[in-house]
Amino acid sequence: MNEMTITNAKYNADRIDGSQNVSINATIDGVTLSVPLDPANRHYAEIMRQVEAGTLTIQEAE
Amino acid sequence: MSKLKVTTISDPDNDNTALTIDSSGNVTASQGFVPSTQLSHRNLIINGNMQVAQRGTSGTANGYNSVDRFRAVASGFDELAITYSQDSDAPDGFSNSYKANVTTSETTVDDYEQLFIEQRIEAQNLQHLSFGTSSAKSITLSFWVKCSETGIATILLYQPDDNRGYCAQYTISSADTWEYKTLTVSGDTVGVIDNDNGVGLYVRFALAVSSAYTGGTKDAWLSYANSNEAVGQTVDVATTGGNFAITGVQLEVGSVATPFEHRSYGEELARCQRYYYKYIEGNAKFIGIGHWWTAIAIDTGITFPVTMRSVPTLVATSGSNYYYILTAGNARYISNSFNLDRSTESSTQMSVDPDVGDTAGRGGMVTSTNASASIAFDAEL
Repeated sequence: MNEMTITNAKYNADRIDGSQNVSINATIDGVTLSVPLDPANRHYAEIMRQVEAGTLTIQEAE
Repeated sequence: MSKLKVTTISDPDNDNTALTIDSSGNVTASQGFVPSTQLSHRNLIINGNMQVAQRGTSGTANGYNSVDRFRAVASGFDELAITYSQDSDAPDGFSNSYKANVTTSETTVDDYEQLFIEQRIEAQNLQHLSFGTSSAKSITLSFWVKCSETGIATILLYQPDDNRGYCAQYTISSADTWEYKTLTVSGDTVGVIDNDNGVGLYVRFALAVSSAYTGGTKDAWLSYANSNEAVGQTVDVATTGGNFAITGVQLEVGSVATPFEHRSYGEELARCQRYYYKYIEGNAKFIGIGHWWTAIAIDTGITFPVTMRSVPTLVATSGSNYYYILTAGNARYISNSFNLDRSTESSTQMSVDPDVGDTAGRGGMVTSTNASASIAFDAEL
C-alpha cells in the first residue's frame, strides 16, 4: 500500500574513492532525488525493498 | 454540590502557606508545585497548529505536500483529485489549519480505496508511554475538525513495530463548523515501541474509506487488520466533493485533554527541520562555498541547523542556468542536478558538474540564479 514509483535509479560513486558508492539518484514519484545509503532513510529503504522484490534495478555508477 | 470559600491553604503540620486565592480567583502556589503530568512539552504531535509549511502552502500530490509533518494519502482511487493546503480558516486561537479539498469527486469508493491524513511520530519520542509493559500509559488525542459531512469519523493509532492498531470513533455533528474533539486511548500493554529513530506511531484521520476498512472492532489495541482501521466510518468527502480540515492536534500522556500547547514559530520550525529542511528557494540565494574538485566537477557543503532524523535525501530542482559558481571574475553556470556525496545527519557534501570547466582547485561561491531553484533535505518518516 502507498508504495513509491521509482525509476532511473543509479549509484553515485564517492569523489575521492571511486570504488565506494555514496548515494543513489532516482526519480521517485516523478521527482528527481539524490538518496543516501542510509537504511533509516525512507527513500533508500523503499529502493532496497523494490530491489529485493525484483521490481527495480540500480545502475552502477559511471 | 458544595463550595469551599478560602483565601489561604496551609499545610497542617507547620502552617506554611501553600496556596493563596485572591479576589479574582487567581491562585498562587507559594511552595513547591509537583504536577502529576508534565507542564511543558506535552504535545507529541509536531506542528499541530499547522503553522509551518516549508514545502509551500498547497499541493496535490500524495504524501507530504504542504504543512510540515502531516502527510495525506489517497490510495487506489480512480477519479479523485484533491488540493491539500495550509488554510487560514481556523478556530479561535489558531491561525491555520490543514485542509483537504476535493476538486474532482470519486464516483464510488471501491474495495481498499482510502483517503486519510496522518502524522508519523518518531519511536524514541514515545518511550515514556511504556507500551508493551503493565505500566503502559493512557494517551489523549485532542483536535479541532471542520468537515463538509456529518456522521461518524475515525482515528487509527497504528504501531508498526508490532503491527498493532487502535481505532476510535468521533462524531462530526455539524457540517462546515469547527468542532473540538477529544479521545482517550488506553495504553497498549502488549506491543513494544522500539527505541529507535523509526516510526513509533501513526496518528491517522480517515476522510473516506471503503467498506473493507469499516467492519471490525474498535476501542481496543489489536493486531492490525484492514477491517479494524476505520470501524463504522460514515464520513466520506471523496464521493461528495467535500472538504476536511484539522488543527490544534495534540497527543499527550494521560486521560485528560489539556489546552493546546502553543510553541513559538521558531521552536516548531526547528522540530520540523529534524524531518525536512528547506535550504534555499528562488533566485540569488547563497548555497555555499565551493571548489573545483577537477576541471569539470564542483563540490560544496552544507551544515544542517538541527540534527536530522536520518541522513536526508537531497531534493533539488535543476534546469538550464538554475545555479552558478562565481569564481575568479567569472560566473560558471550549473544546469545539471546536484548529487549527494559524503553525508551525515548533521551535514552534507554535494557534487555537481557545471556547464563549462575551470581550473581544478579554484574556489568560488555557489548561488542560485533562477526563480525555480530550490534545495531541500528530506528525512521524513
